[in-house]
Amino acid sequence: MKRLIYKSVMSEIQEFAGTGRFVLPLSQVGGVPLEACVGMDAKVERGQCIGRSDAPENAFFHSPAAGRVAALSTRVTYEGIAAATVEIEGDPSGAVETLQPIGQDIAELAAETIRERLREAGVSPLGGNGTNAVYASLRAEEDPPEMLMVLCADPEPLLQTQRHVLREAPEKVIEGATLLQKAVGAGRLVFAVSGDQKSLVSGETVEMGRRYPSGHPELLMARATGAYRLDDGRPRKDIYLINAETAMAACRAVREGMPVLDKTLTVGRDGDLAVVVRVPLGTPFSKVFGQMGLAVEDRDRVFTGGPLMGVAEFDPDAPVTKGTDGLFLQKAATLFGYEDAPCIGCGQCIKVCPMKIPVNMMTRNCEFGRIDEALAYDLESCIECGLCAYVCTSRRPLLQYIQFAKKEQEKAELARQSA
Amino acid sequence: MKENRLTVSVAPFWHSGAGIARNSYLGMAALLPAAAVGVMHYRVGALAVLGLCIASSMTAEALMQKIMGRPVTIGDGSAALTGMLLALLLPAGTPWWLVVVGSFCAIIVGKQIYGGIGSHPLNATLVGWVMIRISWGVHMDADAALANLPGFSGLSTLAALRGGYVDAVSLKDVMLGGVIGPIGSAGLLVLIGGLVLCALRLIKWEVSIGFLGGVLLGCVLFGSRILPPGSDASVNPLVMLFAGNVMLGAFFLAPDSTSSPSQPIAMWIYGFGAGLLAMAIRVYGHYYDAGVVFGILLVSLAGPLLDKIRPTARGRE
Ligand code: SF4
Ligand code: SF4
Repeated sequence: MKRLIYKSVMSEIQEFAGTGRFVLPLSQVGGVPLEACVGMDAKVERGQCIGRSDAPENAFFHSPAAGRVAALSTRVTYEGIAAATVEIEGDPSGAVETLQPIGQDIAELAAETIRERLREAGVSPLGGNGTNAVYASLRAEEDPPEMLMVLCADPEPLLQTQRHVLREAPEKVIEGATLLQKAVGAGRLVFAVSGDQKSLVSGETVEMGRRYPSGHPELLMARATGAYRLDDGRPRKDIYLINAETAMAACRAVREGMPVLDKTLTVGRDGDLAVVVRVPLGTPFSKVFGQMGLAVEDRDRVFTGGPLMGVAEFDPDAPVTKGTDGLFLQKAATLFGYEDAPCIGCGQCIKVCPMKIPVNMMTRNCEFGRIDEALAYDLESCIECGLCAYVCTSRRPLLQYIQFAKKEQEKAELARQSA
Repeated sequence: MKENRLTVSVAPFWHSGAGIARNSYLGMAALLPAAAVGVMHYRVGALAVLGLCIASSMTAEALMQKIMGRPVTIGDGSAALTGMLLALLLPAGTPWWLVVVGSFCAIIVGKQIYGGIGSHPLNATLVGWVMIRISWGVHMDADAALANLPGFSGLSTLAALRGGYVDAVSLKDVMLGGVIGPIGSAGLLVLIGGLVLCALRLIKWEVSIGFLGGVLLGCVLFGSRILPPGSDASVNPLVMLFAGNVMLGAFFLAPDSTSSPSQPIAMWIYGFGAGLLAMAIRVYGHYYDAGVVFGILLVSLAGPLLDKIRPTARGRE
């Protein structure tokens, strides 16, 4: 069995910034969609605000390029939300229209001031697409969380994004994390790191192991607090989870007045090639692959996020968003297929499950929508790490069954509430 | 609108490469040395039983799946493995019609009527074996079946022990085959094949080790009772461990994925219980040659119940 080991492959972060069209769905992880505040054909500066909302948990959107608004449309995001979308034709390499930098000491800054700045500068949780909605959005809470946890290494093999960000500017990550801690009022600040990163951060750390899923956010949070929890589909109340890139964006927003205009992500062809790049938000996937000399062809698979928890994309021209941590191409010839086959009871899934779930019985019930039975077999403990499906001898699409059952349960819950 | 051209599916996008076919063929490969030694000792008679068993098992599977309108899956090797295991449990010289009947019983009654792989409560090979053992016992008696072959006469290992002829049993022959017994008598080679499968994490090793533990405990507790009353000879525990298909039982029959439990503690209890029961039947039972077979079958009945012993899931503590 191929072991799922975290490998660190460090290189320089490459910048891709050709002119062209940038497609910006105005939605964010953990927030409601925003409204566009520019009209058709309007001229925009690089860094100009183009989307806003009155909801306090929503950060604004800014234009990654200087140019004009070429279209206003609607896109369905991977979460199934129809979001207002601004499409901009322009050049992403010119000067940025920044906000006023704030130079005061963190001790002198009011939490409210930091929150307002993060909102104006578009600092919402970066990354995390597909990671089971565990990243918290940066709103002020009446009862503040115990802990702010900063993921400095990537949760899945293949991804190299966060470790590159940390190495690039560890002092900015630490300062940004401290600013965020103040903004949300968290009591403790904890950096989740891999063994080789310990010297880069200061303060409290929790260390992930060498093998997946030890870097899974839920497991790291459980280790830091000493408590597992049952999944209710929402971020943990007692912990704010963000990653290194979000912390760095917070630092730059406060100290340089820099809005969020680009995203760092690991890009590659699965199996033999992966580099870390920084691209303007809204860059189409096909263009990112094109820059690397990779062509997307019929029946290939494109996925965002990592290989175990990521999300497959159906549109090769879908844009990079604030949530995109990884972008990978699998050639059609290398794909394996799931099968509509019965479970043979080999027990491999039980051996790998980090949550000690009787996966064989649980998923048999999920498959046929027997939600109550699936719940009795610990459906709610599942953190959707995907390991069971990775090892399944029958190649059953176990994670699909699990996600299906969780959705069904959500629906039943809603129906119960409205009745 | 542009056409969708990409393949979409739910994660994970990687797979370990495990598969039913891989398990079956690697299982057969692990049995190959023992089968080869069987053929070396019992010559063409063994080869005929092996070939016929595998062929008729696959035929039965394909036929049954056709009749039931299901996809034909003989390519996954699971029927072939069942056939190979059945052959290794039969003596060379078993009449051809009995081989065919045994294979059909194994596949049809043992497996397909429950819905095929994944659904049968008992090990298919053992069901087939027991059905023909009970119905046509005379033809399955290794002493009798091998009597037609030149160079073989005497008693099977277990029969010799029950008769008190301890000196007639050679440990070397019991481990390397060549005794009066089924084709897969080379226990040492089966053990090596089984250990390889354990190392590759292809079988439930907890069941295997538990099984051997049960057998050993049985040996220690009441092993010497296999001798006739009044006999003052002693039985070498290694003989008990390698004779009578213990190794086939431990590594290839008891850990059968479908009919054994999957929870850690349940696997240990299951393996251990089957091993202990196998010894008890061998020592005290009428079907002493079938101790391993009946031991596993009986404990299988408790399999689903055993799987209720499971750890509390995380988040529920
Ligand atoms: S995805 Fe599978 S292996 Fe992972 S926690 Fe859920 S049931 Fe366990
Ligand atoms: S790994 Fe697949 S075939 Fe094996 S017990 Fe789990 S669900 Fe069943």
